Formats: sequence, structure tokens, C-alpha cells
Amino acid sequence: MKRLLFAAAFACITDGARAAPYADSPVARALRDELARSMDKLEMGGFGKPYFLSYSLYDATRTYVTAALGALATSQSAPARSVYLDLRVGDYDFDNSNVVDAERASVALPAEDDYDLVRRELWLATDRSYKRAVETLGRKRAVAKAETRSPDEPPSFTKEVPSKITDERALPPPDMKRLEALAKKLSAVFRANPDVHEGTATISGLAGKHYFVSSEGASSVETGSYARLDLECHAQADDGMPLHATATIWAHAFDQLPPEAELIAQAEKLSKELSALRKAPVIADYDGPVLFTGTAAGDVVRALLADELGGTPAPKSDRPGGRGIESALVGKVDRRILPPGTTLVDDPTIDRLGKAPLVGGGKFDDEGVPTQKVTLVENGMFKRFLMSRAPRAGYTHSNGHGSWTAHGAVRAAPANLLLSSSAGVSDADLRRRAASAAREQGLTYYLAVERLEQRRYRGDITNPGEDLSLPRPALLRRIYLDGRQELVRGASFGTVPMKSLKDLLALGATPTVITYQGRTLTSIAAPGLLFRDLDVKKPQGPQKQRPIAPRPPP
Amino acid sequence: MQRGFDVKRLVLAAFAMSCVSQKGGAPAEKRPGAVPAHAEPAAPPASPARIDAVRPAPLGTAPPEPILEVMTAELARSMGELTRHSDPPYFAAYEVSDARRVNITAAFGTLRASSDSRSRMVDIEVRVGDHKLDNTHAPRDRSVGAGRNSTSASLPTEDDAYALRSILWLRTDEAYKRAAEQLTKVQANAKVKVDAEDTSDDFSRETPSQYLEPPAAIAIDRAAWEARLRAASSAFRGHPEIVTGSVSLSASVETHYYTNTEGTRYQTPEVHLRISIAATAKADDGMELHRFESMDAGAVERMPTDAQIRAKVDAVIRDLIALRRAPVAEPYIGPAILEGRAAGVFFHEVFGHRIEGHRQKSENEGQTFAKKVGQPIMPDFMDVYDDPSIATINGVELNGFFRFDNEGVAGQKASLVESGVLRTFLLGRSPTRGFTRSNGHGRRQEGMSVVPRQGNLVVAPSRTMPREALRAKLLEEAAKQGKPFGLILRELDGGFTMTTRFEPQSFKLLPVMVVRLYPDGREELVRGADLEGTPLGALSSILAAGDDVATFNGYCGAESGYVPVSASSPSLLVSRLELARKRKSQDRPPILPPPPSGGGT
Repeated sequence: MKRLLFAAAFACITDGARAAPYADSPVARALRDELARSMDKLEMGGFGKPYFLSYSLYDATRTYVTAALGALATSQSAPARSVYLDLRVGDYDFDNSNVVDAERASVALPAEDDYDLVRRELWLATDRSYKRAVETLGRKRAVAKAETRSPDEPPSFTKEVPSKITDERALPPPDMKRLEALAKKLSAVFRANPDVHEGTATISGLAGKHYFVSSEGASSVETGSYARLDLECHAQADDGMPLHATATIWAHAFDQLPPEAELIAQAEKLSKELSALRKAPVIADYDGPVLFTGTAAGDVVRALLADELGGTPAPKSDRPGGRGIESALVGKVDRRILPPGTTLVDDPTIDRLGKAPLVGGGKFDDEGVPTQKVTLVENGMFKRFLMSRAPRAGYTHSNGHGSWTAHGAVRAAPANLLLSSSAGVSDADLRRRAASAAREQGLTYYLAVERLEQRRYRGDITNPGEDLSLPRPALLRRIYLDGRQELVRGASFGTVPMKSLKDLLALGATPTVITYQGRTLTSIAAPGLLFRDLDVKKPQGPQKQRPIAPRPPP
Repeated sequence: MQRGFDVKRLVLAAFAMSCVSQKGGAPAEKRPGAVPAHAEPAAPPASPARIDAVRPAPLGTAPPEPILEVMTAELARSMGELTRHSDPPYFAAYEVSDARRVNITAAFGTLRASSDSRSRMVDIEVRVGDHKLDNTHAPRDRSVGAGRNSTSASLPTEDDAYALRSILWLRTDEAYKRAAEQLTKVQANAKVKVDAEDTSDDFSRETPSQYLEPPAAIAIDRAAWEARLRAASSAFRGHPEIVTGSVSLSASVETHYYTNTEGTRYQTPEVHLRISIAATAKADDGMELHRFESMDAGAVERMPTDAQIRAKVDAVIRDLIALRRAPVAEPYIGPAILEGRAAGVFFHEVFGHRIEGHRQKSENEGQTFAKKVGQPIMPDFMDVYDDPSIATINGVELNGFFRFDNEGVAGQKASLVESGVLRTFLLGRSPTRGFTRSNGHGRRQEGMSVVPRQGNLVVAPSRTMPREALRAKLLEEAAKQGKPFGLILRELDGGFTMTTRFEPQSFKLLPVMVVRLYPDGREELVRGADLEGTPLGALSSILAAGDDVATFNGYCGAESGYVPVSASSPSLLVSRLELARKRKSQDRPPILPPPPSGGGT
């Protein structure tokens, strides 16, 4: 149910649980009826009717509760309901899709289940989409005339068997009082630590239905939800360096978040780490082996690989010869991108790995195509792309990974990425190998990263030579060859290219799952990753002063 | 955000235009009984416009709320610590806006959206330097960025002293450091530039005051309003010409808490309840047509009845249908009547934005009126003032009413123009040539920096004439200029004005209901015209005023954000207005007719 994410911008009113099938609701009927009328009658002289039209509806409730240092700051729960339109003119071989400047065609629906008003909104939105489609197709044809046509130029749209999936469940409304109390209690943990300047707990989530209907006859409905808890605390070192300790915990629903005691322990751990960071020495420039464990491993996969896995061809430009950006993996099929023995699959059809929730999946994608497990990398060799219904040479079908992007079209994106290695080694072995790599390079220690920063924060100063191809380490230790460990702060990475993944010294055996909201909601399971050789930079220049006044009395 | 000339463009929220107008509902398309062309115009009587202004008595004897006590304590503590530092601050203020906002929209009889949210924002202002020269000093060129002189943050909505004070502490520290840094830049900039034309201080000295009203607390029955708006908006059903049509309630129930280091403290409720009606249609040539009406109130019991809302919805529908059939306006220069509310918007744009004090001071501004104090700028029968302390005029509630501005100064009357002569400006605590004290017009939306803004602008001519006489005079003027008709501008949808030196000193207003008045008394509605001109020319071309004062209520946007304002004026006859053709959408109307209703079961 990852795609619910995009429905988040519109606030409406809830109408409670429905007993009758969703397809019988006034909204679903309005979608089908206006779709049928548009296909049948929508035509402007000489331009032809649409050959395809789909409506993808997200009908969800969005919840957001946040507390700071034990006091409630925001508590909201509101319906969010919107429809994404995909209207195509021309034909499957050459249509108006996949151009650089496509506007996102979506419309917010009324809060109430009113057949008439929903149809009215769809009428106007479909009319706009049709006019834009006609115009876009004209431009695309003009550009095509001025361009040479490559022999392997794929058609515009794949042919798929229309999906008919029904997954209906009642979802309980969020227990706001409980969520508020939890957010207060968790953020109050930070209040007890005099080192903490700011400390917040934010609980958010979406829950609802995804309904897809197309002129090809697809009609599918899926129930889904996710919940997330963000714990954040911030401090400043005596030299002024801003310090952050954050964690995000995901679940399929609010009532599936870990038990309160476990969450409090997690907040306490962050709070202690923040205090430890205040006393930690600043890192020195380093060039040598780096071991990523815990959530840091998944974040490496996210930063270096995840965005390259979609095979949707680059959108066409308005100018002949112009194109959008292609995946860096184009031309790399059957080439090594990871060490031998490594497998990378994307499996949207599972929702759990061991006990860890995977929340990126679902039953069908944003183009109504049933999701499929795709093996992307076998034995370290790149095998195939994730695909939407925009084909490329060698792919005649979608594999169910179409996802709405922020700017217009559907493109292929990962859902649940699972990285594993048949040569995966135990944690202890990973550390031994890291130590011996350090020894070979004449070093007295190696670096081990447990967590990467999730974003830039207020007061952060850019380090010279920093390259954000990999985010800054948030929790980083020097592991000396004699076994001593030392927490260090202030590090950032030099450039880390995707290529460096194929020279990984070793992969671990036990994965940790992370989830993030990028273009879509994606979960990544990755074991520890050992790089032979990365540049890690120390900060240079001044930091901001610490607050002049002491903190207020408790 | 870009700075320099780019940010000075002012937009009078087109979406927020409003009305609380003369009795008799919406402007009628045709008004019978127009004066025949040959009738002798009546001699203008010397009667002033009727303006019954109510200024409510002070109510401020309530106890302070916990949040105000927390703010006061932390301001004192943080400032106590900071003043021991080198470059100590000499002034600081906290303002908290504690708001509940209810927004409900219904369209074609159905609820479109309904929300109820609570928020608490603090704006922190810290000044370093002294009253003569401080960190807010306007830089002389853009190499030194204009320092935002406030820092804002959202606060917990619970009265938890420690959590609140922690945020105030950190943000005050941040605001102080930024101010100290900016002062250093300002001092260096002042040394290398030629002397400024205006050598006024950066900050005025004002008398501290204390004023505490009970916090805003009103009950809004959401379910009942949802039902009422559904019913009101159902009138759009059955009119295929209406493409979009909605009726909304926006209720903003705020309490402002202010404390500064000079000892001023206030706690004031600010309630704005607004019903708005917005609808669009499309002419066959693709022109987008829209109408907006609104009704404002400061208390639930004064909100409009269902019948009053319905009458406005019907008027909007009627206007749009008439506009669809109306011919497109041709470019025109000639005499025109700006009817009441349109005259209010006209004055707001053409005059009101140009007499904001900071525009007289900044060397990047056009300073249209900076050196005109004591000189005539409009005809001698014109008086204009801005007075935020007025709650109602002729029974109509004014949107720009407030007790204290966002700098802790009581809102007070500024007599801008007396007998056509410019007397003063709208002033906050940034003095300008010849004016050392604020007149309580320093305003902002939360999160923005204060500048002087309008509150309740009132155009009060000392000599007026009845409506019929004004129309006759319009026709007389049209004949004199050889025009086949005179124009009547009935509704303006808003407008914008440019005030910086880089840009042309001009304004553009967006009339929606423009009528041609022919010598035989016939009226013809036209569509698709913009009103353009220059301020000095427009103001000096005022010929006469009517006796029909009307009030426009709205929200005005400028560099300090959106603030509620009003403008009251009688109808005005001007000898020369310029209409230009509006840019029009090239999209065709919807291809298919509206979908059939009825559930499709």
C-alpha cells in the first residue's frame, strides 16, 4: 500500500467503515460511470477519443501526532482522498506518455461519498487531461519527426491482462488519545537528559483503500495502512557542533508498533547516545575500510542503488535529441555490480522478513498491475530492471512496479528490496575481515557505521569536500585492532560511487530492515557491508556557538 | 525567497476579496430609472459622507493566562543572560498566536472538506545596537541582505512551562546571534555608503502599556455548519453554466499574547468568521469568469442567516450567467464611477500601499509620497484616514479592527489626508522623516517581519452627492470627452501595485462587474477588462463622491504576510480611468456537458 503516500496532501472528512463492497460505493460507481462516458464520448474534432483511461483512487485517513519534551504540539487525523488520472490518446505503439514536462494529473475528491459531485470533479479533471494529452501527443509527434528513430525504440504502453483483485478489510480508526499519550511519554524521555536541547516524538500514518479502474476492464481494490514513529533528539557539543540522534520505527498499523516499554528503551538509548556523542572526539581524516551495520547498511543500498533500479525509459524532451536522465544501470545487464554470491530481489508480495515489517509492497501497483517478485541481481550480476507499463527494449510487460512520481508520470520504483549473499559471514567474521583489511593498509583501526543521518538539520555546517552521495554517519566508531572501541563525531564521506559496491570485501548474513519515503514508500533489507576503502572527512572551520544563556530551569 | 525589488509586489488576495455591502444584496444587472441624458445634474450638496464609526471601550482587566506568564519569565531570564554578553540586545519581544482554525467547504450540495486544527506559533524579535542604529537598519544595497528581524517557531499547544521555555530559549539565542551578526554588517555598510536621505532612527520610543482581555473562546458547531453550507451550495446544482461553485466557512479564533522588555504586555482575542462564496464559469471564447462574495463577522451571533447566504449565492449565479452572455470589453480611457466597495479596493491599492511608512524610507522604493507631506495630493473635499480602533462603520463589522498592533502599540487613527492635503503615513515603530512615533500600524502574519500596514482605511469626503446626481455627472463628463458611454465599476476582484523604483509606479485592478452607462440610461455589462493606471494621476482625477458609503473586507498580502483589512468609501467619480483587455485562457470550455446526476444505480 506504498502508494497511499501520495494521497497525503488533501484533507477531508471521514465516513467510517463500510460494510458493503467498496466497488458498490457511490465514489467507485462515479469513477466507473465517468470513465465509461469519457471513453465513449470525449472527443475534440479530428483528434480522436482516448484509447486508454484509468482512475487510481486513494481513499485514506492521515494521522499525525507530535510532542516535544513531553508536551503535545500537534494532533490531527483527517481523511485524504484523491484520484490520479492516466489518459492516453494515440495508440499503444505511440501515445502522449513519458514526456519531460508531463504535469501530474490528480484531483482531490470531496470528503463525502456523493456520486454527483465526484463525477463532476472527474468530468473536469478528465477534460483537462484529455486536452493536455492531445497537445502533448502533437508535440511528441513533431519531435519524433525531427529525430532519427532507433530500431529498438519501444512502444509507448505495454498490454497487460486487466487485474481484478479484491482485498477488503475494515480498518480501526486511530486511537488518538493513546497516540497522544505515547508521543508525550516518549518525548518526555528526552526531557530527563540535561544535554538535550530539543527532543520530539512524532507518530504518523495512513490507512485506507486503493481502488483502481481502467478502460481495459481492470477493477481492483486493496486495503492498506502503515504507521511510523520518529524519535529525534538534538544537542550541541562544547565546540558548537550540532549533534543528532534519531530513529524511525515502522509498522503496518499503529497497533503493531512495538510495545511501549521497548519504545521507551529505544528513546533512552538515543538519549544516551546523544550524551556520549557530546563527549566523543572529533574524527580525523581517514582513508580505509568502513563497515556498515544495522540500519546504515540499508541506507547505503538506498543511497547508491535504489534509485537506479527502475527501467522506465527516460522521458522524451520537447527538443529533438533531448531526453531525461536514464538509470545508471542501462547497458549493465549481465555485468557485475555486486560481489559474487550476492542476490538482490524486489518482492512487493511479502509484508514481513522474519519479525521485521516490510511496508513497501502491495497487491497491485499504481497502474493496476499485480505486483511481482523480481530478481534484479543474481550472483552479483545485474539481470533486469523493475518495470512499469512503459516498456523498454527487452521488456514487453510491466512487472508491477509502477509508481506515481511527484512530477507527473508513473515510473518504476522499488517496493521491498532484499539484499543477501550466499557468501554472507557472521558479524564477528565481518569485524575480523575489517580488522585484517585495516592491518593490510597499515592502519591501527577501522571505522564502523551503525546509523546514517536521515536529513540535514538546523545548524548543520557543510564540511569541505563533503559529497552527499552518501549521507553523513550519525553513529560512527573507531574499532582499534586491539579491540578497543571509540565513538567519534563530525564525519562526512567523500564521493562514494555505485561502482564501489562491486568491490565490497564482504557482506554479512543477517539483514536489518529500513523503510523510507522517497518517491514512494520503500523497505530495504540489507546485511552488513564492508567497503575496502572509503574517504571519510573531518569537519573544518568554525561551528556555531553554543547558546549563551543556560537552559531554563526544569 | 528572492529579495530586493522582487518581493515588494503586493497582492490584495484575490481569493480573499470580500463584501459586506450596502443593503439590497448583490449589484443588479439593470437598474431602472436612470437619469435621462438631458436632465440637469443637481448641484452637489455640501453634505459629508455618513460614517457612523463605533470604537469599542477597553475591556482589558482579565488575569494573564499561563502562556503569557511563561513568556514573560523566559524573556526576562534569557535577556538577563544575554545582556551580560558583549553586543548586548537592547530590546526583545515575544508574540504568541494561539489559534484554532475551522475550515468547511461545500460544493454543489456536498461537503468538500472540513477541518479543525489548533496551532501555537511564536515570533521572537531581538534588537542589538540602539534606537538610532540597530540590526533592522535597511541596507543601502543588496550586498547586505535585509536581515529578517524576527524568528518564529511552533510551540506545544499544552501549557507545559519547561517544554515551552526550552523552545523560547533556543530560538531567542538564535535570534540574538543573527541580530548581532546583522548589526555588524549594517554598521560596515553604513560607513561605506553616502549618507542616507532619511536619517531617522531605526526604532521609536513608545510608552509601555498593559492590556489583558480574556482569551478567545467561541463555540463553532461544526456539524451544524456542515449542514448549512451543504444546503447553501446546493443552489449551484441545476446551473450547467457554473463550472465550479462552493460555499465556505473559515473561522479563525485566535488569542495574541505579547510581551516585551519595555514592560508592554497584552493578551487579546481576535476572531474572524467568514462565509465565502466562489464560483466560476467559462465563456464560449474560453474566458474564465469568476465571482467571489464574502460575509465577515467577529462573533457567531452576528454571522449571516441561511437566507442571507442563499441570496448571495443566487446573486453570484446570476452575475456569472450574465457575464457569460456579456460582450468583451474594449480598451477605454475615460470617466468612470467606482462604486462603494470598488472605490475602497481602489484606494487600498492606489493610495494605501504607498503611504506605508517604510516605503518612504527605503532607498529602493519609489517614494511616491515621501516628500509630499503638507501638499495637496487629491481634491480638497477628500479626507482619508486609517483607524484600526473602529469595530463597525454604519453597522458593518470591519476586518481591520485590532486593539494592539504586532509591535505592542495601540491601534490608533492616522489622519492621512485632510482636505486633500497629505498629513501623515501609516507608521510602525520604524520612524521616518518627520515622524518619530508609531501610530499603531506595525502588522504581520505570524512568521513574518513587521512593516506598517493598513487596518481600516476610510475615505470620508466632506462633500458628496446622491447617486443619481453622480451618474448624471458621469454622463456629462463622458459627453465632454466625446465618449459614447461612461463606465461603472461595480465589483473589483482585487489587484496589485508596484512600489519599488525598479518597477513602473503603477497599479492594476481586476474588475469583475463593469457596466457601460449610456446617455439614455441603458446599462450594459461587459467582461474581460483590467483597470490600469498610475497613482498620482488617478488620485488627482477624482471629480466627485457619492453619499453611499460601503465597506470592503478582505485580506491583504504584502511583505509581512496576509493581514485582515477593510476599506470603506463612497462611490467616486474619476475623470480618467484606463481599461485594458484581460489576458484570457485559451482553453476551450469542457467538451462534454456536465455528467447526469442521480446516483447511476
